[in-house]
Amino acid sequence: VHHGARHPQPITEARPRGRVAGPAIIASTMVLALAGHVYSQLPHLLFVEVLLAAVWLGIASLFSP
Amino acid sequence: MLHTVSWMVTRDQAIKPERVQSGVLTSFLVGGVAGGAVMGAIIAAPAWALYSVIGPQPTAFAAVSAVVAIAYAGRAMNLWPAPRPQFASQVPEAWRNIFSANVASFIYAAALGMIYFTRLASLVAYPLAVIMLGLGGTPLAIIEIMAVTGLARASTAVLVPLLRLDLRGSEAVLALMQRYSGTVRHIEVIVLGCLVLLPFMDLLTRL
Repeated sequence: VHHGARHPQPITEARPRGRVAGPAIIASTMVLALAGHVYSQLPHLLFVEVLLAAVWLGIASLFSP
Repeated sequence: MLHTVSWMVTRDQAIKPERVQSGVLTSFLVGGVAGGAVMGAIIAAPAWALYSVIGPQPTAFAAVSAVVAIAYAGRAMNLWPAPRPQFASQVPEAWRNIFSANVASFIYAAALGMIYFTRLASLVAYPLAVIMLGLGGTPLAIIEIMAVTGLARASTAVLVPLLRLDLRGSEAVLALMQRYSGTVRHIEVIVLGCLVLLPFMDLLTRL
């Protein structure tokens, strides 16, 4: 029977999917959107509508053939 | 689109699946932002030229955008026809074999980020183009907004590993597309409706 110290799990093990990608995407989107809002000087409400259209245009492609 | 991503993720499974997936997805996201930013720069050039000639006309562009949104909302609801001009070009499939999975992913996503040079899945593209042309006084804002679009478009690739579409085959992708087609149509009409309200919002913010 081997009584040696346990080796920790290698840190190269894959992390659960989506745990890193999701926050990274949301953070990047928010940074770009905030920069766009500040620079465009559009009123908040107008910019939100433009951003909604821009994000939807991107997401809708998911359903293209 | 999901077919291509699934293919690229599974192409080099023999090497190390998780590593290939994260490499492909990262390249995809970076490519999407880069492509969107380039598209923004391409729109910013004529927008800036227009701004130099006619000056700031936010209300006029909001009104034109609303008219275009009404036209395409009618088409989305099958009330009347409306033209759907587009450059339906795609990245040549052979590129996926020539380049490594990461490079192919970057190129493919960058091409996807060039929204108006690809097959347009959403009618929102047309009124949004009018709005972007109206932002000629702030070209960097156009680049940043289009980069958001590119990122959003590329982010949909993350669904491949999350829903395990790479393991379930092309039938699963088709089933997913068909299952949500009605919802997509409804959201499309809602977003176009929001753009119709743009001139009224513009007026409200000026009061």
